[in-house]
Amino acid sequence: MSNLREEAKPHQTFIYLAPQENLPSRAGLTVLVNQIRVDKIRKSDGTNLTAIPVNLWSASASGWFRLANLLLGSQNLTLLASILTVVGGIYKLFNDEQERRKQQQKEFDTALAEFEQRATQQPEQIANEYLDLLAKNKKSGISSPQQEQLKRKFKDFARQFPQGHIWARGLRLRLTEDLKFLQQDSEKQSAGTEQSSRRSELIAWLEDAQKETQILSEAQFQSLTRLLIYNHAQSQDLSTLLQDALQVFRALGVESQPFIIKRMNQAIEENAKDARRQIQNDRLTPTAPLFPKEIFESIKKAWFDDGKAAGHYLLESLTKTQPELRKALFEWEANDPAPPNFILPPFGLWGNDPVYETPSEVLKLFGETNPRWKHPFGPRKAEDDPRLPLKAGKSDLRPAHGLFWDEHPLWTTVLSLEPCFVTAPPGSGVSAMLRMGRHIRRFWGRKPALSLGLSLSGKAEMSTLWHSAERALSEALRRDLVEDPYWLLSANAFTQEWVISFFEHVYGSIWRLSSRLQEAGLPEEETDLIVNALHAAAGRKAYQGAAQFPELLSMLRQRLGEAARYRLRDDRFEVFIWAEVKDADFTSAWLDLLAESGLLQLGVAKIFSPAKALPTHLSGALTDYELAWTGEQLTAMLHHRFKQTGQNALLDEMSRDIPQLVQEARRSPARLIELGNRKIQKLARLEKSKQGGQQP
Amino acid sequence: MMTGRLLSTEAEDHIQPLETDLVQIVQNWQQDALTDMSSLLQAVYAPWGGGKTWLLQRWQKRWGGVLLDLKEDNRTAVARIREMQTKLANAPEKRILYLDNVPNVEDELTNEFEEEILRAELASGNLVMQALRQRDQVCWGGAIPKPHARFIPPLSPEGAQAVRRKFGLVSSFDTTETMLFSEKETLPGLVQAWCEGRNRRQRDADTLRNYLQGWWQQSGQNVPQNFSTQLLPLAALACRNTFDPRTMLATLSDLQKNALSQNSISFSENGLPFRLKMKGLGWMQTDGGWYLPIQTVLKTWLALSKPNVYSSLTSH
Repeated sequence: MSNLREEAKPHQTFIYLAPQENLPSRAGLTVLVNQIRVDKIRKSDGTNLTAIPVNLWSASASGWFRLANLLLGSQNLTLLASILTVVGGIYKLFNDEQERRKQQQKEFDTALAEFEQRATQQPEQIANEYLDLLAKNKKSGISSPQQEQLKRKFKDFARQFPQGHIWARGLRLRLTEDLKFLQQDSEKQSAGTEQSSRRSELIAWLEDAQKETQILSEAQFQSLTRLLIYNHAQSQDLSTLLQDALQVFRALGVESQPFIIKRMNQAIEENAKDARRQIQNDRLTPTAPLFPKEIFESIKKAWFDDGKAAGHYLLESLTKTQPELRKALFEWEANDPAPPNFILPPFGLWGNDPVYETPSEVLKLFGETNPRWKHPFGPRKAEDDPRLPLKAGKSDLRPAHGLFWDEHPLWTTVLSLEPCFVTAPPGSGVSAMLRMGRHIRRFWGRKPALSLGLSLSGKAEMSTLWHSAERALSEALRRDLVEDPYWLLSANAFTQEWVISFFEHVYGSIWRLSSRLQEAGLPEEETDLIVNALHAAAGRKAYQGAAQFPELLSMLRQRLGEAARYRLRDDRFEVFIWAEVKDADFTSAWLDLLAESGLLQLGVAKIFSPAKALPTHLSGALTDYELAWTGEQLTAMLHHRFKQTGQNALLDEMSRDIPQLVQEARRSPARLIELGNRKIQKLARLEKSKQGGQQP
Repeated sequence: MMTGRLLSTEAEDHIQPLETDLVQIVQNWQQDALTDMSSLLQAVYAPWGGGKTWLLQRWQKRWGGVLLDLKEDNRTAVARIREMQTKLANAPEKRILYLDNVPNVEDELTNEFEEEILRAELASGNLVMQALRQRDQVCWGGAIPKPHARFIPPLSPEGAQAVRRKFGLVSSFDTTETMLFSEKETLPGLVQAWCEGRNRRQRDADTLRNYLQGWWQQSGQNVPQNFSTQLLPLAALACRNTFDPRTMLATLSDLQKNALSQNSISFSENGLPFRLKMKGLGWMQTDGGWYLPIQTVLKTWLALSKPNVYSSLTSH
């Protein structure tokens, strides 16, 4: 009450009374004021207060007043004020935190947006950016949902750029840089503990990066860790180390090569020393070879036999510091080259299966296993018959042995280095010769070369010709890359830039090429490496158009020739231009264009046309031939087909009809195939009708 | 390859006439009397397990020379040819070249071999002896003349007995063996497989089934999952010495037909596709008859696995 008295303003004093029982509602109710205190209580007009008029309120209202009085009219007010102050403080803190969070979320959103933008523009930096962002946000305090959101975003981007794990390229380069420093440390022979602490730091960082991004597969990660902690004193097995080196190289790309080679040199030298020491203990032989046989055998097995392009690349690098190994490599290459990768149809020159229509009763004649592949005739068009090329060992998965009859007298000329113009009427086997020529004269063919296949139809125009030539080259190179990408990997940076920019020129984007390479059969373990190499050299714009085509072709001739050196038969690696001019009337115009463009001089031209003769002004550049067939040749071709499809028994059944078939074919192998199909169909129908009424 | 272990002098009688011919050829060659390509190119032929590899190895020991195997493997043709060229480089200039597993069909390896090695060997006047599966089927192109191939005769029952002894089976033929080996023609590979099965204590019927399955596989045909079920009708046809189910069924008595139906033996294959398949397997000969060693195996197998069917079909 005293507080209230002191704090209350004189002219606004209210006294609240709470009688114990209800008072009757009556006007003029007053309360007498105690005289002793009267001097202290004056009215606003200055007169003393003797009585206070009473406003009578309802019981419920007075209850509220009583409660208010309890709260405000005592020491509780202080308590309340304190509580209010505390609550207010808490509220303020809460409010500030909200503000701070809002601010942090805003910053996070901005950072995330920047991450998204950079990820789209520079996909190779996705993993790097992600790790940086994660580290930054961890420092400033990142919430679990934000962390999850960031992780999701990262995974989405990684999924968007899967070819060759391009999203991890930046991070891999960063790792490679660290490896380089580590290597420099060891070259400088820094103090052991210092070196070891750097290595431990690197391993710790790597573990963290691996946990967050999975930039390496589990096997690659293990290999890299083993390679980092490699210590000869712990006598790590050389074969395992070679495998590890290969894994790491495939994972980190060509930039990691110096580190790997350094490590391997160290391991090889130490293994060789051990071996020599052992030999000397057994029997002192000062003439013992520098490297014992076992070391070379381990290297051959891991890198040459099973290492594919990556292994060959590392081997080539290793031989630069190990001349004794170089000699061995030349021997291995000459004696036992690893088989090329298998190009998956339809990315080679042929599709998945022979394309032709035939009734089921015909197929029944050829047994239950792959009957479509065992028809001695089948597709009329060579491009529809993947059975034409000879089977290339067990790695060739086609259920065929090769139907192409290679004893036509013109065939040797067609495969030779002589530029020629072949006149051939329709149906005389032009497509078969062109395809088989391109097949045998490919980079990994039996007579290695770079073969471009051009199909020239309609009106002769220079732009059409160049477009056709560029497309032919891109297709040939794509196949050559799938079969053996080593030639590009081991090319110098200048050549790589040219090849990649050519691909960019043709495909528009390097991504398209990399996905096509994979589809066409580039093995998974090579894809990362190739895509990384492609990406490293991308965007340089070295090749800009047809004007540079001759220069590119000459560069490729040299590079591919070097890569195929141990398989060459005639010691020459040439570019072959296989052109089919579809229309006799336009032949002369197309030939003029070919000469004018310089393409005739760029390689060995093999031009097939239905035109009657070669224009005389080109007789110096090309030799004129005619593709014609005799009855004997057609008979030999037909027998060859029966033999190669394993249908000798069927040939016996049909032997009496063969001369007639050949005669009716009128010197056309295409017509012979068509007639053969009809003949077999007739035989099958006859058999069906025989069996129809006479089931056993 | 299969009979590589059978270097027994007692089992050689069957090849005496063949060797006499070849000794003459080798002598002529040694005296430079063989000049043209077709006389320099010799061939022997026999079906799977017919003793081709054994014979080539035997002759290489006798006359020297280089033995090359043309069987397909995982290496590239380049690697194979280089390896062969290395072998030839270390051999005397005048030599006999023995070619094992010469395939019926051409592939990259045989094509390269013909171009890089065979033509050069013949041009140098070296004698080439090749082992073929079938007399008139060889992979080489038209530039290489078709050789006059000599058949490697099968083992006589005495020869089979001699081979058995090499495997430690010294008793005289039991009933099953009498049935299996008493015919005029027995393939050494069959005797070997039989003896190995006996030594492993394998069921005789299983040994014969596996032998037939091996034959099926090496001919390039997919072995059906229910191989034994597929063999039953073939064995029935073999017992009746025909390839025509209709003719066979027409000659069977009701009792015999019942024996077939009770054992669920039916004939789903017939006509031209069936004949072509049998010829492809080498079970049907060009004259349409059964190849005797296989017919004997099938009959013996049926006698072992379904004796009632066998006795019913072979009773008159």
